[in-house]
Amino acid sequence: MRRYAIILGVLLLLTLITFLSARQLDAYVPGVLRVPLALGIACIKAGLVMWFFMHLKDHAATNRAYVLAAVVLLTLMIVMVVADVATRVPTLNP
Amino acid sequence: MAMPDGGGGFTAHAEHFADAPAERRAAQLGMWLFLAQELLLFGGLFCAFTMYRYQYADTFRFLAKNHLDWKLGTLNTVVLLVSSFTVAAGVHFARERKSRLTGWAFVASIALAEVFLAIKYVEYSHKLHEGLLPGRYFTHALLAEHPGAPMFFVLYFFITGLHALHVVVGIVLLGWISYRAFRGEFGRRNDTPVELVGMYWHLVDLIWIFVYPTLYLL
Repeated sequence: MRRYAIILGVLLLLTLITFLSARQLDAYVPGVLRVPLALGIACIKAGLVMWFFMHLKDHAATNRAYVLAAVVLLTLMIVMVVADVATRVPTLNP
Repeated sequence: MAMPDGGGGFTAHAEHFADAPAERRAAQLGMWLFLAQELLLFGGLFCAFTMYRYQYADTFRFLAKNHLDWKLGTLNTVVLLVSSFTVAAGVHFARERKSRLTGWAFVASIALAEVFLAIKYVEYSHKLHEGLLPGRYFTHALLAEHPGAPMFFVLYFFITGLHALHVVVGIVLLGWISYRAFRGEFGRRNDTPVELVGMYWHLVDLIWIFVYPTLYLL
């Protein structure tokens, strides 16, 4: 129980950091870092939820492989789509 | 806590499994497989969002800042995180054979889930009055001229709508488990259903962890 309370505290703290860095203190965060920072913190939070709340740490290694496969496929899909859109000639954009 | 088979201690198991831990591991594996494809389902929507966010970066940033309520978004994030904690507590109690405590923890989670939906309703009705619905129902006078603006709200409604649907399903599942927990079922029997429903609820929370910054903050 204590461990879950600590994880909740960390998750709330990370939420606060996300919010402050994107809204209240955004003047101190360089523009190019805003998106990677917010998404990086979200990934850490998601990792904490899966590892402790969803007990991925106690589960069989095959389960971790499934999650990893989903994350890799998702990253691949998003990166490829962005790479496509980013390198198009302007007139070809719909 | 750290049991290699993820809890257990039961000996009763279905015939086609070697033992109870094997059955439990199979159930966990199936659940992860389901949750992995849920990630891919939401991933499609996030992929679409990323693409349009890239194309209409300024519009999307402007809309997130001025037409979404960060207060309600942040409040909903906190509500879901706390509900995830209460679900984790319920799963913990089920492992310790405290079935009634599991029931109460899940009832608390259901209450938080309903708070989440109530806040979502406030947000949706506000968007409805502003005329920011998808397709031909997008009637906001100023924004309709703006390329990319209708797309932002289409993605907003589809991502948060699909997520809210998962919250509703989660409430039904949590209610079903708490009913069984109050009957004392998990004090003497396999608690795998508690763990699997808990995993589902954590996934709902996990998806919101990404919805919050991408839609409300960036």
